[in-house]
Amino acid sequence: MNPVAKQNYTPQAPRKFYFLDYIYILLKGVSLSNNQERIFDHFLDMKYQFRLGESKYKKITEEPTDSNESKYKMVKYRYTFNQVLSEANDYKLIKQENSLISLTKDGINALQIYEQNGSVEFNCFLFRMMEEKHQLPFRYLIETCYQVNQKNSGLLIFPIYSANRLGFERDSLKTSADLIKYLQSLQNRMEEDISKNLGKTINLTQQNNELIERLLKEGLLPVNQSDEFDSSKYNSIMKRSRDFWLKYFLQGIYSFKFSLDSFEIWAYRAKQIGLLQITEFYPDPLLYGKIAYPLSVIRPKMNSTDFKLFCQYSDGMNLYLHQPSINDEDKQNSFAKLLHEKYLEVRYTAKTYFVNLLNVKERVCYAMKISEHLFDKFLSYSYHKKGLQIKISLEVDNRRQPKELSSLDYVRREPVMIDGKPRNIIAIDLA
Amino acid sequence: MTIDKYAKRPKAEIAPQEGKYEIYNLQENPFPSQPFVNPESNDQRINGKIYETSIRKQEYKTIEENFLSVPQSDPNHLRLGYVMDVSYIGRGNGKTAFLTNLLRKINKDFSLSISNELNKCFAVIVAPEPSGKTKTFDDLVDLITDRIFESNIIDDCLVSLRLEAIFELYENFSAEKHFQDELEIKKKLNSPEWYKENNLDYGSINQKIISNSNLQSLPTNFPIYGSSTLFANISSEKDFVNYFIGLKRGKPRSEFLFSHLVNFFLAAGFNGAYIFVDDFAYIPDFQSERQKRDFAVELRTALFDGLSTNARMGFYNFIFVLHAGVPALIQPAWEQAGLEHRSPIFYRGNARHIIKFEKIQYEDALSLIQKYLQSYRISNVSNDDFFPFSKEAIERIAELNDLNASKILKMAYEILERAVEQNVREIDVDFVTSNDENHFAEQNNASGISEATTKDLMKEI
Repeated sequence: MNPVAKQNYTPQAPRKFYFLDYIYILLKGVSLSNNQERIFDHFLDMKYQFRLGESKYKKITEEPTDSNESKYKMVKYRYTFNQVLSEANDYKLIKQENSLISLTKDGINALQIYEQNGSVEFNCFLFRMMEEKHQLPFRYLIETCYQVNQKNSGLLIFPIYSANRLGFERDSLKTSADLIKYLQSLQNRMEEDISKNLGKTINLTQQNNELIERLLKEGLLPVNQSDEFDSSKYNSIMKRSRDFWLKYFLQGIYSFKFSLDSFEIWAYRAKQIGLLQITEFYPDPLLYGKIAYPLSVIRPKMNSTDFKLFCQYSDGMNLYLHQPSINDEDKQNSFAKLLHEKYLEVRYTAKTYFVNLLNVKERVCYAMKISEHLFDKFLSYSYHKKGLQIKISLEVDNRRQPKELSSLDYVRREPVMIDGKPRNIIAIDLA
Repeated sequence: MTIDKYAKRPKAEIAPQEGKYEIYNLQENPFPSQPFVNPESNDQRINGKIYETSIRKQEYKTIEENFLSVPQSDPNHLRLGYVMDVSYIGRGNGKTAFLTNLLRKINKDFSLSISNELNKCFAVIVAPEPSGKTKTFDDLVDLITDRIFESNIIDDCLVSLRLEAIFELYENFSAEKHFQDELEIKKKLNSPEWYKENNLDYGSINQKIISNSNLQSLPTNFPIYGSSTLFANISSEKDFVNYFIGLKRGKPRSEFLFSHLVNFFLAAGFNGAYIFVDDFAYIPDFQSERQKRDFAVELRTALFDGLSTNARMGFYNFIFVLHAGVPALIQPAWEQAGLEHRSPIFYRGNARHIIKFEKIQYEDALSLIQKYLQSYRISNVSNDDFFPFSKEAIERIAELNDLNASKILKMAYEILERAVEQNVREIDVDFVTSNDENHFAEQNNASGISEATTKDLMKEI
């Protein structure tokens, strides 16, 4: 195994937005007008078209923005706009002279790359600028993953368990003692998860005590254990605990020098480029929360043709992206085999003939260590290929939800586009 | 002598216990614990007797308009149709329950009332083996014939034939005088003693039967002829079964089902039959492309353009029950065999021969639950009352189970059991939600990420 270089500097925090498409729509706006307000108008239009929100998920639907939009939303949107503007400025994709904004040569180039080669190529182009400007955040991410979990190929877990998940009914949590029982149960569960997935034994008692201390200090938890806590504070207590543990995992166990927010943004950007996978939907029947794992390695040299040289660093180390070729017949066959295997695994639990394609996708991506984007390409190829040993059926299942019960504004799991149609369920037979 | 035995009363008094569902105004838990339909069961929760017709009203209407009420004499009547599940929710959408009820309705009076006496048809439901044993057309022929035997329609036909012959030969014969009910008709007409006692010559009765024009082309060892020589030997369904077992697989059996039996049914007054193939997918699931093609060709021959009696008149009307993935499975075979022309599976818009089974709606889920509740109510309540469930709770159950009828019923059963255990007064949305989370945690059959094999990129060189 090749040695992994240790980093002794801290990468900078990113600007506060997830989608790299934002930079594209800004550049597009600038190509249409030099006036900041007009650019902002274009920005809002395209933001709606691309379904971009302020979260890491795309929106289901959104009313087109108009002047009647709530003031609060407008403030949010303008904040995002300014963040994107600053970042584009950092990378010298635009220049500001007086109050006019225009594209630089790099900006024009970037625009062309997006429009001719697609968003993934655009993201890869941006990668270089992000890496340079912010002191190698992506290299830092990848190296730290492998350092933390050498045994399991860089897998990181961020467990999140609500009280219900651990078998505590909301109604049964009344007193301080009840909540402490839940937190104890949470601690035990996380220790198990760490042991199983990270191969380490870590005692979280001290941390748990610290959390309880904090909750007591902030008055969220009554000092007297038999006293009832304020039930209106329940959600705050849960959020506090969740954030506490996420931060502990990130900075305590994994020793990341990022804040939670920065980590999230860098990780989801890395996902858009294809360097790393982060997801909260891996279909593990027992582990709930987020997981992340690298899809690339940092090495001085790599001979395997399954890897693409992505970036050369000044210290002689290189970033190689795992990108097996679709045109390689061996890879096609192993993809098909794996797809079938994972389909059967998911089908075994679901007990239906058609199963959730996105669950199969998560399993295949983890097994093969490929990006979601590459999976889509392999799937499309296999779907059309004749003479494969398996026959793939892809359809879309539109769930109908009554308006009162629906609380989803965001599509958390995007369907796969094949032949211009969205698909989210799959069935496989032997040909 | 001690008279304690008679005079004394026991010390322990039995106090009648309140049924545990009584607080909910229910005699028992009205929901099936394992909601797949088993028509043989005595439990009305499982055998399809509890059935809310409003849910699949449209689907029933389509079948009635395009199949059941169309006269068999119409040369263009549909011979092959599909019940197509377009919901993608897998099993549990209510197809088998629907078919079971349809079957009951048809066989109640052999579709005489449904078709305004234009048709007299019986119906059977066939289900291929999930193990994949039903792979070829010959296997299907065996399966159908077995089901026909099991349904006792042969016996019914023999009864019809004999009755008709008796009426023709003996003018003064009064049915009311001899038979009290259906059971008695069958019993007496199958008993040689009864004929003797009532001075009816079985020999000439049988002669009358076999002189029917429809029975002229039958082979000489066909069971209907069996009894003309020996007085004591009145042919019964058993003879048909034995005869069939003795036939070789392939052409002889196919001919039996599609020609000889058809002639026999025609003689008995039937002019058609509906064969519902439930879970049709179990056939192509296990077939290679070649086998699918052969199957499709044989099906086409038997139904449309072969030389059998059935092909010439379209006696049997087949309806295949398909789930959403099946059309893709069989389309190339159907096309190559020419079945796509006769009875296309891929059809834009609304086809007369395709009965679409969509997901049920939320209103249907409410009707479904209400039907079960009402079947076990102690005292009647209005249709709006879902006690102990709240309306929202039922909607949540429906949502959690993807509007899958089968799963909705199963969850309703479990939630009610839990409510009884915990002495819960009313089942509301919160109770349902907390139930679901625990339930989900117990389903850990799939491997977790810690056990999943993955490519270790660090090991690559």
